Amino acid sequence: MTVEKKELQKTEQQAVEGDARRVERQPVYLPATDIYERKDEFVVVADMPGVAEKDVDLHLDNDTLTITGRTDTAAPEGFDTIHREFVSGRYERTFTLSEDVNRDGIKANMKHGVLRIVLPKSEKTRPRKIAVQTE
Amino acid sequence: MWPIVNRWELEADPFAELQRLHQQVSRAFDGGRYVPGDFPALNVWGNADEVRVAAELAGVDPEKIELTVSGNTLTLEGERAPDPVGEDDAVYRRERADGRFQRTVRLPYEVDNEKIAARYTNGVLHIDLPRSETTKPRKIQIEG
Repeated sequence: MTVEKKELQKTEQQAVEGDARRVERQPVYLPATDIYERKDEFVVVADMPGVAEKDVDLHLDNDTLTITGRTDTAAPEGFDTIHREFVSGRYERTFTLSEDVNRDGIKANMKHGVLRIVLPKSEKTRPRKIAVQTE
Repeated sequence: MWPIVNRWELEADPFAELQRLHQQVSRAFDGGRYVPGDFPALNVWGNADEVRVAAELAGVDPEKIELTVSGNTLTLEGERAPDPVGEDDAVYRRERADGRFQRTVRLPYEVDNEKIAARYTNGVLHIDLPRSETTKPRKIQIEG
């Protein structure tokens, strides 16, 4: 799942949905997220239970990375609701990327309802070992 | 766009979302550990013959989920492993809770333990619990 491809899909989707998005009546959830920085990359991990890989969108607009996902939990046909704690809705969260993220290297995957995004640091900001030469 | 049934569900239960928000807030104040009884979030549906339960369990190894049925009580327990963070990693946000969880659901009737089926899809555990034959309502013929 590359960001570029997703971006393209998002654009297409927006074109199709247009004004329909504004009348959306479903709740928007903020996915619980972990963010950490490793030596060569940043990692963003977001809980999006019920969202299939095909229903996740990553959208990069300059410094803003937006993740969205849809989840559908309608009552099964022929069943009554006895107890309900979560409903169908949309996950959405926006992150601001720092200068040192290599935009072209962003990778994402979805497993067990968890979105994991790896954002590599650009070459110039990566810590480097500099050899000290003796004269 | 969205099936009509979802909108109806929302209007019929405006408190579901509030409750969820409350859970998220209390979880945040608990330092990211699970408060007994609030995780995983559950939906329960039923009819005369079967109960279906859905549990939001993102990122939980399905092998680590344990289901127990005793009488008309379903217990769901397990553990969510924390994301491996290296010693040299800088952590900016840690909102995803980890640790052991347990939740108990009272079912409307006894179920047939042999016929319980569970599947884990996209971080949601779906459990189908068919009603036990012996507790099904029966028509009793009156002999005259």
